[in-house]
Amino acid sequence: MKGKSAAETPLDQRSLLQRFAVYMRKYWFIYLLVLPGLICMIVFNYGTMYGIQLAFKDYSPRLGVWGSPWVGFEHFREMIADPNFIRAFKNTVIINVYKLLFGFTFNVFLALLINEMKIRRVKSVVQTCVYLPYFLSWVIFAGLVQVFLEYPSAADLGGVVNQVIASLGGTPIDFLKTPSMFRGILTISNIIKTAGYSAIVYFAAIAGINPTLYESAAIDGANRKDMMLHITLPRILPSVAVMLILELAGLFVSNFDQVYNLYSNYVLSTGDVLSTYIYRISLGGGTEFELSTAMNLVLNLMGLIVVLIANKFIEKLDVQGIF
Amino acid sequence: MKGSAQGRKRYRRSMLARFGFNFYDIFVYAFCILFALVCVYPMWYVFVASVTPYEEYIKGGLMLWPRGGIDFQYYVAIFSTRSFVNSLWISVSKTVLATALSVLVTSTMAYAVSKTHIRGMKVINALVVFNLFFTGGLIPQYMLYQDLHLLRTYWVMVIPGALNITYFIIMRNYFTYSVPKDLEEAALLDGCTDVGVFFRVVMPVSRSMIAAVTLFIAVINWNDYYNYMMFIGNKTNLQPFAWILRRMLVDQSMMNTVRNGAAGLGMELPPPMALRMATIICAMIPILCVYPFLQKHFTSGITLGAVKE
Amino acid sequence: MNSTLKKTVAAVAGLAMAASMLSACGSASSSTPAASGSTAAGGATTNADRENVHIRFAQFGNNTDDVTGMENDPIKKAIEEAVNVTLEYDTGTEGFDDRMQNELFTGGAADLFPTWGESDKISSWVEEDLVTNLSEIVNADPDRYPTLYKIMNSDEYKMYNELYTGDSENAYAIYGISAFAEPSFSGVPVYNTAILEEVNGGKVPATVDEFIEYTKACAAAGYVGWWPRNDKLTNWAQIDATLAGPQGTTIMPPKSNVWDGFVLSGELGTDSEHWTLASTSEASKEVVKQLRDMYAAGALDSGIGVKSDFDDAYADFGAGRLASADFGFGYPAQFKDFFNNPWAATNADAQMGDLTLGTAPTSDGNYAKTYTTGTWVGSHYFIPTTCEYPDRVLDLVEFLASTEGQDLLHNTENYVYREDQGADFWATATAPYGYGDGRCKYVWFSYMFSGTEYEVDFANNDWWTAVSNPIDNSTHWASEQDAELIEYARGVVGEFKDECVVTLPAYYNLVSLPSEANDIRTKLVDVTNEYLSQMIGGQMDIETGWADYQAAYEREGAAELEQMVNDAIAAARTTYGG
Repeated sequence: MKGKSAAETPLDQRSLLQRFAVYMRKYWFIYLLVLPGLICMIVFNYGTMYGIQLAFKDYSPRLGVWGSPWVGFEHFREMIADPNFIRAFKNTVIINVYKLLFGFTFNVFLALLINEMKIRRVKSVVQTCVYLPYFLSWVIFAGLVQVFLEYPSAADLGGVVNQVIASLGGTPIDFLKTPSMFRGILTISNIIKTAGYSAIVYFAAIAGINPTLYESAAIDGANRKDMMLHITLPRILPSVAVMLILELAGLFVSNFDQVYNLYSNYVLSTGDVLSTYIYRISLGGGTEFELSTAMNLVLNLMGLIVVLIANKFIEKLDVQGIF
Repeated sequence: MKGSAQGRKRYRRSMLARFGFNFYDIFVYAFCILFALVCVYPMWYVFVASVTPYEEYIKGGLMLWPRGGIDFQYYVAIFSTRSFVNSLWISVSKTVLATALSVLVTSTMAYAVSKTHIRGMKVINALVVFNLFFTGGLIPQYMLYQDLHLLRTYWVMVIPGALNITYFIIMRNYFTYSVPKDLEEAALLDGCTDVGVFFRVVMPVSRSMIAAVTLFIAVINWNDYYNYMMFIGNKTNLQPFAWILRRMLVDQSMMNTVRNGAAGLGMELPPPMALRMATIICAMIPILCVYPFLQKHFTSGITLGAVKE
Repeated sequence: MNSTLKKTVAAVAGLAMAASMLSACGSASSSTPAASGSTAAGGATTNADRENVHIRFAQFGNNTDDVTGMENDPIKKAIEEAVNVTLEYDTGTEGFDDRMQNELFTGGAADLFPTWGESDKISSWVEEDLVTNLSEIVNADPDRYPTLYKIMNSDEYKMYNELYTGDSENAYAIYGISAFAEPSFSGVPVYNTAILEEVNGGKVPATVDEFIEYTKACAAAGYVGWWPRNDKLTNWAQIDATLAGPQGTTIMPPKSNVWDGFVLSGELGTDSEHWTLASTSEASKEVVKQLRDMYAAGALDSGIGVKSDFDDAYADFGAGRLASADFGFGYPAQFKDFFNNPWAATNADAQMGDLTLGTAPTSDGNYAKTYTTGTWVGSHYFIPTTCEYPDRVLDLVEFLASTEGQDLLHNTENYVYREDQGADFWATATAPYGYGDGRCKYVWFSYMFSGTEYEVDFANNDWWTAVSNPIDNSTHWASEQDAELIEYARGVVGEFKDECVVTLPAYYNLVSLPSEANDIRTKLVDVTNEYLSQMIGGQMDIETGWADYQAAYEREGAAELEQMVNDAIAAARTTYGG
């Protein structure tokens, strides 16, 4: 038994090798196509993963990442005890919930209403206008927000919004310095920037609805509002559900670009989010290498769990998931 | 739909409804047009303000049209700043290079991975998507670039983003669901090789999708300042335009340079607010130029790839 | 899906391992310390015979946007030629120090880079073997580095070695230290004379109360009352010196100087001296209330803190919208720069009398106290151990320290200003550094040896004498009007200078805080920036917010810090004092 298997092994290996060679000869081109991307991925995406051990180490530049001593979960304890981290975490989740409650519903609403417009020229002009902000960077958009919300001083007029408030007899408001308003500003500016673009998904779903449904409903005497509520809305619900799940999956993800360009010392209490906080303690002013890596690791793990759960739901909905 | 008799009938009926007084329609149009105005009026306002002479501008109000003539002096001030012009060149070149590289790497990989029946592709796919949610973090990234000698070089703005995971998923879904399988199979039966199928069947069919993705990635690269800020830090001659923009609009650390430059040209010292507005317009122009093409493409197909149906 | 998931997990682990091997190899090879300073025997070797290397030289700089000027910098070219190297300037302002440390920690530091003199930072770098032992290289070859050899073997230099690393024989840095030519202090406002005439009949506010009233009156008259130089509401020094200091307290967080944020009691130089952290004291609360009221009244510029920096203040001042400004006019040359830049640049027929330099405001007859040790610790320069040719970098330093190098930087010949070439000599070099007064401020190298921007003569002096007696050529650089402006400012400041400036005993130079203290200080600075911004801006109620502010201070270790500061000062007093 023993001797037999020993004699057979090389043969098996050779055949495996041969099979591999045949397979490669057949599909070499496909493997060639995948190669550049694979290399990029290994180097730039997986290449950073070795640095994750920093989260468990006391980094010493002399010893390098590998040689530095292990400290277990010390940085994680430090993280939980850090009130600024807790605050940033809370802010991130609250801002995302705002965006979900107001932004997400607004997107669906906007898609349905735009779809109700039957004068094609008006509709396409409106679409052109609402898609546009999506393509401007947050730097430009933050510049626009500042220009509009600026607080007036003796030296300067202030933004248009404050000019209007003043002309109506109200007291100008220093929007960007008021903590209680900052999350609102983030939510609204996000809606203006992305609502049009996000609505496209629903347009696609609406386009797939069979027109005969509307016709039979019209014969039954349904008005347009009823048709929207009872035909259009139910049929785009799968898309809505998918987008909702995707949105939920980003619950712990904060928009660095948006917050970094709009926030200031004044509004840290409500506006400091995880990505800006991690940036400030690592490259942007601090040298908390290990702590920031630990935070990133925890957030990634939490995010990953949420995404995996979300993907299960998406699969149940019988649509193409992300994996 | 438009071509069918039923469609025409339905259209006519809605035309009739349009002429009747209908509160529902008024609400729909008012709401949509108002929101469209909210989206574009800020840009128009900034444009008007940036060409309005200062004496008129400080009178304030909602400007709908330039008052007191049109004056491009702030644009002259901006474009006579050398680092401004230099940054445009940096941004154009890095956008072209990074976009070309990214589209090439991402599309070929997405196509290969869409062939799920070939061994290993499912695993590779999962490996790529995993990165969308799990990263090493800022410091490990910084250290990796240090080891690769990419820090403080032009190439750190070009190479690391070669594989764009979001567009990988979109393209992969496109290749899986939107390229007709029978076309590929027919070509294979005709004796075409994989190479032939890829170049003669798949690429021509996907042309418009690739064009769309190219534009999208180009916009991302054009708007990117993050890589400069994190991994280059401070190099006068490598500042991309998006960074200069930030320095003009958000932290305003470049305002003095531009203003002094203008004073050097014998102009009156321009007010910072006006320069900010003119800068916003300069930054928007390239996006507005490609916007018609973007819009043409993104309604057809590209976002459909993200979510089937 | 499930089997794919398992395979994926396995593959992720494998890839991460493989990638880490790659990068580990990379980092190992790149962080290997390079050759130490072995040099060829025979004194005849000159820089021209040595290898032409690329040196990245980092320096805190204030203007990086003049690409043409940087390319055509004649100083750079002259230095490159003399030392036979290629120079790369690396500069920045925001976050510069942190970037230097980040680069050092990840193995990518510039070949010659500065930091301020924090002893715990320096000793930890030495401990970690991150910076090169300069004495070892210099002492091995005195003929090659004659000036540096002389500098590094002076007693005072060794004392600093002792202070920073506890090892007097080995220098790890080029120290930038000098005596003050003029004591620098803050809290003197400059006024737009026309507005002063209009609002106050030309009378300069003398007390804190008068000053506050004046700024409010200006606001009522349609001007912005006051701009205390404060970039992004993180620089409290001017506000502090103008308002809080005279009232016997401070709103500063503990920051750069050991005593920042503290108030002195007891007698200096004796056992009774004690420093109390005053940032969150009740007296400071009253000052913050004053600031809040000023802000609400438009007396304090509302633009401070969010995005505007002094460029906006310059614009407003030049346009006559700003009634008063603070820019550190205790330093007379600052007044001259201020006159020229925001005022004369926008007002073609500017006269000296257009601006009135005020006095430091008093309260109950008390002036704000500015403590100084009489010496200035500038930036210290390091060569990282990752640098492959520290000997060549030291060639550069040696050249800059030599008579030839100093002459080149300062347009002198044997330390005597070259009148024949005049200010025009540096005209092309002026622009990139952001100065428009027809002279080179050689900002890149100005702080390398002494804390001032003046020439140092190492050839005829020992190290300490040279750096504490820099050669002031500024009268040659200055135009007639500039000289007049400086004289005017010097005269005004001279009247109250002695009331403001308190010279600390010499041992204060040698106070060294533990590294935990610096961690606490960094956090307290953040707390202050956040709370004061909101309280002054009116977004947070001061009465209720102050307790939170105090609690935040306590939580971050304010009490411990106060203990550490007093212990460190006491330790310096017993060791070096007496």
